[in-house]
Amino acid sequence: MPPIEPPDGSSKGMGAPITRRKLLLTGVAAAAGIAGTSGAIWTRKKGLWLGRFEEGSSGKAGETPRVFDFRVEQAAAALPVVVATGGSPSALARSALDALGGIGTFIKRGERVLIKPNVGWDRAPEMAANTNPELVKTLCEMCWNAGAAAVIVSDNTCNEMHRCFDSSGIGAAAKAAGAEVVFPRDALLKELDFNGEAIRSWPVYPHFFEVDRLINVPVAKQHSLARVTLGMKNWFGVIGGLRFRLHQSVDRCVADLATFIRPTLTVIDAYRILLRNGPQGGRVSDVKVAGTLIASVDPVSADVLAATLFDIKGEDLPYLRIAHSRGLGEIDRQRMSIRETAVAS
Amino acid sequence: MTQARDRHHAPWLIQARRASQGLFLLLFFLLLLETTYPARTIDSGFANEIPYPVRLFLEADPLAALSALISSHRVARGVLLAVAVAAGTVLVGRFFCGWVCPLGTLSHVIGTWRPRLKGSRRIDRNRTKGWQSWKYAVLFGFLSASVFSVMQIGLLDPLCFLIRSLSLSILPGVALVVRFALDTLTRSGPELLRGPADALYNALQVPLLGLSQPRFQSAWLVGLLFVTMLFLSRFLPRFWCRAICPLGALMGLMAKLSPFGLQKRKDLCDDCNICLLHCQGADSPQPGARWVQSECHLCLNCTAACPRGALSFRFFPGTPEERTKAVPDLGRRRVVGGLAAGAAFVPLVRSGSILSVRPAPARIRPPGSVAEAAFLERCVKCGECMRVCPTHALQPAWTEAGIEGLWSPVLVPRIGYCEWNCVLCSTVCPTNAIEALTRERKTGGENGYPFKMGTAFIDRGRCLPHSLGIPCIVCEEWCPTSPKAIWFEEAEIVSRDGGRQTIKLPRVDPKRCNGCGACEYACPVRDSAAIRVTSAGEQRDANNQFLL
Repeated sequence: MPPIEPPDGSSKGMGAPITRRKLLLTGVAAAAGIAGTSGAIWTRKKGLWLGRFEEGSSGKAGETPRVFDFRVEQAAAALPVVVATGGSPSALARSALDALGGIGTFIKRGERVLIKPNVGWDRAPEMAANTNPELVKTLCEMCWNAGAAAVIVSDNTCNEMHRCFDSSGIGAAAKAAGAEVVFPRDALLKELDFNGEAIRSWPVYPHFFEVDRLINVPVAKQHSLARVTLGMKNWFGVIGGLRFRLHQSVDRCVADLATFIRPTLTVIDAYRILLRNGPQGGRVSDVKVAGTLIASVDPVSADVLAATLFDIKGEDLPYLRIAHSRGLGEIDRQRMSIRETAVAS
Repeated sequence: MTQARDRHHAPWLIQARRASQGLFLLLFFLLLLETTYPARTIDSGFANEIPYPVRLFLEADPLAALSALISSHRVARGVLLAVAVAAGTVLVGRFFCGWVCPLGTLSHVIGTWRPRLKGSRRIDRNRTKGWQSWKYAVLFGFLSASVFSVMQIGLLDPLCFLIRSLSLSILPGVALVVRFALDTLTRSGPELLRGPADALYNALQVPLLGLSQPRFQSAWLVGLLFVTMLFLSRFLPRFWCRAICPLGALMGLMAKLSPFGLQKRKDLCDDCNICLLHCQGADSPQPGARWVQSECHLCLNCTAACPRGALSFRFFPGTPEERTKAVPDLGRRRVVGGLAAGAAFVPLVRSGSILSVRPAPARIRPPGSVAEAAFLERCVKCGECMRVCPTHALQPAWTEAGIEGLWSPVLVPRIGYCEWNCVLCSTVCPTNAIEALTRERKTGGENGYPFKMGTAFIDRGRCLPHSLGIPCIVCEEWCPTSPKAIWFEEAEIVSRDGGRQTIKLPRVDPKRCNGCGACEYACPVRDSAAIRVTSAGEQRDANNQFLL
């Protein structure tokens, strides 16, 4: 049966009848659209996008905590905890790394490195709310010199992300050193089973873990609940989700994150330290210029020594006690090998 | 000879008019897209100024300037530009409508690109209609309300209407779709496309997508009005410009003074009505009818379309009886009706609102805002401040500020908080409803008190430490003032098993609190926060003080 043509022969406009061909084509297009959309949603739910991130983890699903290990293999325990004093942030970094045998101890040619500063707040460098930008720049340059294939700077900030990277000077510093600044995207968050004591599973940004080496570069600040926020608490910045809830059990959460994430190196910026109104500060009078930098492969030792700048003993910080008991590092100063270096200024 | 020259000139002028429309539309969009955070870094490291004249179009708006003058007796920012536009209109007519106005251009394109109407039906639609005088009623209504300091011109001023619709509804809608597509591609697209999708996302984030996905309350209505208006242009070409636009009406009145006009040669005309087919303003260009100068957009289509060269624009055109009427076809009833309606609107909204008796708690105005009465006299609801706010804390008011304050900016801390070192909203406000504010004045500097927008109050029934004995310091951690407005009282509490523990209970120092809402934003009790900001104590309002 031939299709019925309208009397005037036109098939345009609102009055045009739906031909069989047109109906079929529309149907096929609609079906393809629905199939494509559901396919995309299905693959997303299945987590099929994960790729490298999944392979890179050395943890196993089950009751043992999942661990992302970025440590260098050889005899790391023999390396000292370095306390450098008396120079610019850049000079402090060079001095400390020299004492650890140079950046080449940690970064090999062709490795991808992520530098994780604290860029939490929309504050100027003088307020000591964020890691010193000059330090970040120097570390980036060192990584390039060691032959790194990629140097990435990233943090999940508290205040608006772009403002934090701009006002802190860290965005400009990273770019000046040729590093890539990655702004975490919530759309790429992946819920991971960590099997920790307080954190069972939590959404994380995969890009922090899709690297060969991870350097933790926090700034030392007063914090009303954790008392001081140093290296281990800085891992709050690689996870997403409703982070505000972690404070209800802050010590166990900090220790858990330190259990999951084993950095290549912890470099604590204490060039300026924030004594009051942490973790944001806001006045120059809240800040003390301590002119210090602490670097260690042992995250617990680094935090213990940084805490002394606030006249706090490591043993008095519950999260360090928990971390020590889990074998994450040394809490007793007497048992640490401490190397002090003074930079001629 | 005259007609031959005119016919040769006209198509060139049409191209010029189209180029002008295109360029101004492009400029408008570029400036709108630049009204966003990553701004020029000034102010000791803080990016607090946008390096482009993003207020340009609103400053060139004579209606906004006139309303500001009438309602608040103030000369608007950048008033010289508005004066220049007005002077140009008096000189040649409504050139702004036909050559510049971005909303006019959008209506124009919708109405003429593959038009719904053709032939005689289109010609009929383009004849001058009585309802074209509605816009004069709209104009006089708004202006008479302005006299009594009720300023509502922003609802229908074309530039405010367009900026608001695009900023709050259309662009966020586009961003939502593009973001979803790029997110899906980056996450689960083919391996080959993930990198490019990620790069495209990063490139589009600042100008188009927003730092985070913008969501504005009541944007559905803002967008619906806009889409409906554009859609109507398909059936009634330039419906907005002909029937609604109060700026067009104002310019129509000015155009009556213009010595520039359409010269019609009845002797050359064969009544083909092709001029009407292409007429944008429905101003009766056809010889034999009276040309309505106040309606003409100077699009010049009629002169280009006329196959006989019977139409041309020139200064001091002849045959005045054909050129114009003595007064624009306002309809005396419409003028009086508009004035009366505008005046009647004043007691209607003022007596029907308790907001003049007590301050509205959720009416938290942006930092730098002037007192509420002056704010309502100045704010044109353009939405620039809401577009530029990096946390989307500034939202179009729905019920928070009364009927007069519809779509004026209010801070909604559950959506976003006022970023301590940011003063961008005060730099883009075209009418000084938000007065220019330095970072120093906003934060109080090293030793002063910050600009106070409101005060945070703790809901002890919901607060985790106060009510449940669970440690939580998030509000204090987020409080940006120094010394912090939130401090702790240490208290010993008894737990269910009889044990005792010490816990930090947050307390608010109302003198230090600036009402930024960071505490409410960050409070882990997600639905309704355990600490909430209201306008109480806002420094701009003497009647909203509660401290001695």
